[in-house]
Amino acid sequence: MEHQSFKELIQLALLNELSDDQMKELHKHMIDCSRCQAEYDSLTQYFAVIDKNKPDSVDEQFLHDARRQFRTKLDYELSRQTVIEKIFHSIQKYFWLNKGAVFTGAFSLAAGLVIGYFVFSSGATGMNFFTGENGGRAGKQIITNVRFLSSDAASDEVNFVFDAVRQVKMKGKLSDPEIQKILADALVNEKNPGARITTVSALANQVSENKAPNPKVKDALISALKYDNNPGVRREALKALLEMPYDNRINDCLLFVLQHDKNSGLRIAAINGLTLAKMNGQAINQETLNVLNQKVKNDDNEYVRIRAASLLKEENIQ
Amino acid sequence: MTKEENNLILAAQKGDRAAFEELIYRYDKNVLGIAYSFIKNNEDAKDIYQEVFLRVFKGINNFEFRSEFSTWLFRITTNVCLTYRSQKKKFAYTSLDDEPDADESEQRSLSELLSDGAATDSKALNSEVSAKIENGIEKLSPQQKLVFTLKHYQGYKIKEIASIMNCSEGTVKNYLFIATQKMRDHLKVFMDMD
Repeated sequence: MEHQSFKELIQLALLNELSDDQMKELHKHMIDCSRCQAEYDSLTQYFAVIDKNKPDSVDEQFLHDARRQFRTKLDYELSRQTVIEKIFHSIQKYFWLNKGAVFTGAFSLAAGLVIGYFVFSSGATGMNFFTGENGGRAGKQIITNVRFLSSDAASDEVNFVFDAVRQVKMKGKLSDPEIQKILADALVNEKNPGARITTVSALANQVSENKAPNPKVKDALISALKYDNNPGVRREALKALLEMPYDNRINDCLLFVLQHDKNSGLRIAAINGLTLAKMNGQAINQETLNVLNQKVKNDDNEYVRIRAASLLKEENIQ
Repeated sequence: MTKEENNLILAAQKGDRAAFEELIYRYDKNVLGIAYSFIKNNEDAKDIYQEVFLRVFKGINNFEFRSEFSTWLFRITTNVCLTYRSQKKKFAYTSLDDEPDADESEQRSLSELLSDGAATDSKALNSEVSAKIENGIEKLSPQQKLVFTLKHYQGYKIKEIASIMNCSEGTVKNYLFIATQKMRDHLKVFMDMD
């Protein structure tokens, strides 16, 4: 093997990428090769410097912010898709029900203009999102986070994006689905944990065991329960979900909390939720049994272990 | 891929948003980690994160279970990282915040550090080394830089990197060897000091 190849093997050895045979071959060569020994020492020093100056790992707050921004972007994308889908469905329906190819061209042109209006006008600026409907009163708009994508002095053209923030005052009833929708969005996107707790509490007040919940509210509560980094918010979300008619999704959420939440208080609340559901006649499925078995063995909270064991015992008796 | 993950993918393909979120939250910390270690800027890393998951959301129906979901996801991540960087370079002249000259900025940061009474010599040296490493990484080609960060900062094996970048292990090794050589030359002064 050429000397250069051994230099590469040294690097791979230090990166833990060599097989046992290659390692043996390298060691054998290095015994007699002072140049490779020096290379080994030099590379060891280099890797130590690189290793010592690694960038910090991603912290939870950073991750939480990224998730929140992504959810907002996804909401926007979905709403945009919905508008486009609606328009295309209308066009399809029109073509299906009406004849007269003469009008087809004119209609297509109009539809194109409408799509362009929605996609590029409201989509690009987002300025007219709230215009005072539903008791909302828009305040002064603040433009922040301007980022230039391109700029061409010759053609006098700029291409940039920005966040347009406007304070809106709203007054209405918590039972109003529109108000619930906005609060559900706030629960997922609000940065202030205190505000999120207040929001989830307000939503919880509207939840009733006998009433079908607003799906948007339910999604937001589930998302908060699973992914909010504030235990107070998660606790309130759990309480609210347990007030809703019990179903598989809520059951899955309780299992998720039992398996992943580091807060023992929340795990206790989750296992109490499962117990209550069982008392109310809910059947315990296989997945729940698996999680309970796992909890009996592994959970570091004694109450959770005892409660899981007791649920399993009751299930076996039946 | 676990059965549970398979089910989440299938549900996400049917438009179940909760399943989609649960699926991506299994890997999004790695995605953000790759983006951050590649771009070294919080806002840009978050931009990459959003672009990656938007592409995943739009393309999940095309995922045919031929590879691990994570491999597919990280492949998208590396593609976005590479193209994001090239877009930035294309418009670099428009940014007023760009550092005018790397060496100048290094001198400034070092003198600032040294003039700071609270900073110890050791801290200043560490910061200086970090800045020098960062500067050296910036001088690598995008592919060398990506391989360097995936290997040294994210701890992937060469085989995994090849799979993520959709190239051969030999190509990855080649990028890595060149990156090491360039970085060693760049950091020579610090290596000799030790």
